[in-house]
Amino acid sequence: MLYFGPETIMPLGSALAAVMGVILLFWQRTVGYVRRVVTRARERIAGMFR
Amino acid sequence: MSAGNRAERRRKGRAARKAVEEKRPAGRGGEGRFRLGAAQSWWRLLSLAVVFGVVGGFLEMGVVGWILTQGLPLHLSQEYLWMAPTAYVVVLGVLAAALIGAGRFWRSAATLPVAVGLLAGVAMGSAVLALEMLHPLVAVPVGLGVGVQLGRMARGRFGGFVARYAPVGALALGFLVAGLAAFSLTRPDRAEARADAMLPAPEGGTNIVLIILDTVRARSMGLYDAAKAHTPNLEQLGREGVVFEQAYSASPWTLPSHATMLTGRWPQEHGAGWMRALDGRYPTLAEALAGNGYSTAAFVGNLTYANHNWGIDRGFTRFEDYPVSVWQVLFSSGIGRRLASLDGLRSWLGLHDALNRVRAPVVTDRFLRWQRERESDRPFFAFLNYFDAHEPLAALVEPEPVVPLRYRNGLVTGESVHFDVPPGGQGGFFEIYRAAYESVIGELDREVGRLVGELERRGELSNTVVIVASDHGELIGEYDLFGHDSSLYLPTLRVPLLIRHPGTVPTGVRMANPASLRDLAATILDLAGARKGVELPGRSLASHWDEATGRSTTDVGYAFLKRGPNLRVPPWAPVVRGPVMESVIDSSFQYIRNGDGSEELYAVQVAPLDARNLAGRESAAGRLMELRRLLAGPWPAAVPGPRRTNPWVGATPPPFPALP
Repeated sequence: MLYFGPETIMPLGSALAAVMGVILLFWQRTVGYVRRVVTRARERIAGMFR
Repeated sequence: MSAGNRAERRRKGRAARKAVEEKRPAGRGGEGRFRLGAAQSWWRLLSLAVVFGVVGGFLEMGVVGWILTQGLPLHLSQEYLWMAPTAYVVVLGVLAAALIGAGRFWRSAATLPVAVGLLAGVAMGSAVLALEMLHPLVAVPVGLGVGVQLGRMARGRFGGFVARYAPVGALALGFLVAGLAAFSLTRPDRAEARADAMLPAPEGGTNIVLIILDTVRARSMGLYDAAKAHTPNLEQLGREGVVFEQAYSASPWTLPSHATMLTGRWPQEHGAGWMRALDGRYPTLAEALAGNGYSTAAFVGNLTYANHNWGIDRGFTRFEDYPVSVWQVLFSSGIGRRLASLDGLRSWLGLHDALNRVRAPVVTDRFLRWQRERESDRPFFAFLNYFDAHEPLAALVEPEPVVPLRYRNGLVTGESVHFDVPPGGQGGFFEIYRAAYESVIGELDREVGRLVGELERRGELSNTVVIVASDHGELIGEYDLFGHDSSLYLPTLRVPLLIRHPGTVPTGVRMANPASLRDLAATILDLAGARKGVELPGRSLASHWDEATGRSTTDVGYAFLKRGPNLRVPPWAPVVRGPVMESVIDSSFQYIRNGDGSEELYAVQVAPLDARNLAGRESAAGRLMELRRLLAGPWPAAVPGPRRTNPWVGATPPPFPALP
């Protein structure tokens, strides 16, 4: 059973905020990776139809 | 893409950035402009600290504003509006000064990107720390993330903009905060002037001084037992007025008890409690007196549950609780509050009381200063709360600790000592605590004496009704409990009550019948002769001595306690047995119905240490029936809970640690 109460939200909120902080810390690198993944995916999809 | 290509691209990127930076003119955000080797740069750096500090302070205010919408009042000063940005400016100012110092030895430490990144990161981290629902370490990645990104941006146009406009921005924001401070600090004076202009002063009104000795139980006072705390001033006041031998509070803890005294409503009616401030449904005593032309002012020592955040301030034109001090400014930032919550640090700094109380002499001084400086010819209603008898007792830690180190930490820091004290006490803890407690009561007696003496010297006493009471008592080992919010046993409910006003109130009378502090509001309105506007429920305690009012001999005490969400009490505390417990007390017996329906019956005159539950005894069956009927009587049902509850006040209490 899914339960969302104060006891579950507190650690969840902390974890999410921490992850956001780390993403922000390595923003350029994160964006670079995402961009690269998207580019490769697009290239592969385009290759499939060639 | 091959590894060689990636390396080549990175090299080209670095070269391009370098080229851009080299072409950028000085003063347009180049790092060189801001190196601290330049003579004019230190004040730019301090300007940056001011700008980021004020912005960070306002950011935290947004966070705090959101928290307040979630339903739980925070412990914030009324001066928070200017104290928060000031706190950030102070913290960032210290960092900026450190950066200036570091720049003299390590030039690359004091560049614009480093300064922007550090100041913005710390400001952001502190704002995140204001979110008390989150783990404090979350502030590190968030602060670092924001700092690194803004630091990067400062290498470009943003840096140029910041460096150029920081001084003028700091000046403008500094004026803004100073204006806010001036506005906020003069607010009570303006409010008093407005109140004076609105209503004509009543003719021949009597001043009222209501003194609440927070957490003082009747049985530890010389006023009630000559063998207990030395209270000559209170005894003198008692000889000049009426002393109630059996006065009972309606709740064993601060907020509901205060709310009841100030509204005349029972705790389950007004609903003020662990997660809920006193709301605006019912008029307060201060509002009623203000409506009758009184000046109203409160001077509060209890910053935990009797401060303005909990609605106790309603109707008071002046409400003085948190001090205006350097420490209070620092506590107005997320980082300051988190640091102050570190018990060891607070103890090391000698700030035992800094967050939760204003000491009694300061409360007295505040009242006497206000009374001396007020220009109004109106009668006044002054409410004073002395908090010194609440644990942690300062007497135990100053000047020298007199309790074993094992217990001292809990007492010093305010962390509940429930955990440290096993049933029956240990190492004479309860004896030591009782002695210290009575010593503090003696100090409070001296404060009351000083206050009354000064009123007499100023010629005000003859026209002033002085009322001394307490909001609740304390258990110090009786029933194997310590504290006051975990049961309805008599030591937590039986409180002092004396009323002095020769001419109106008889002198030297001791009333034996039970009386409830719930009737205090109606009593004060009666003694003040306030007939206009709102009426407060309850019956004037003058009925105890005034035939004309209708002499009463049937009063009873009644108390109500709702279990708190995060209440950390021992498993044998009655409050854990169910959500709500109630008690009625007549002149001979106290009847308690616990949350699980179990019953307790005690003879009032038996000392708590010798008390035996008579509920199961056949000889007491008749009284038990009577008191059951009494409890089933006119007491109101509890109001529904708040619509929104605070998400970070846990729904279930944390586990109770094992006893040693």
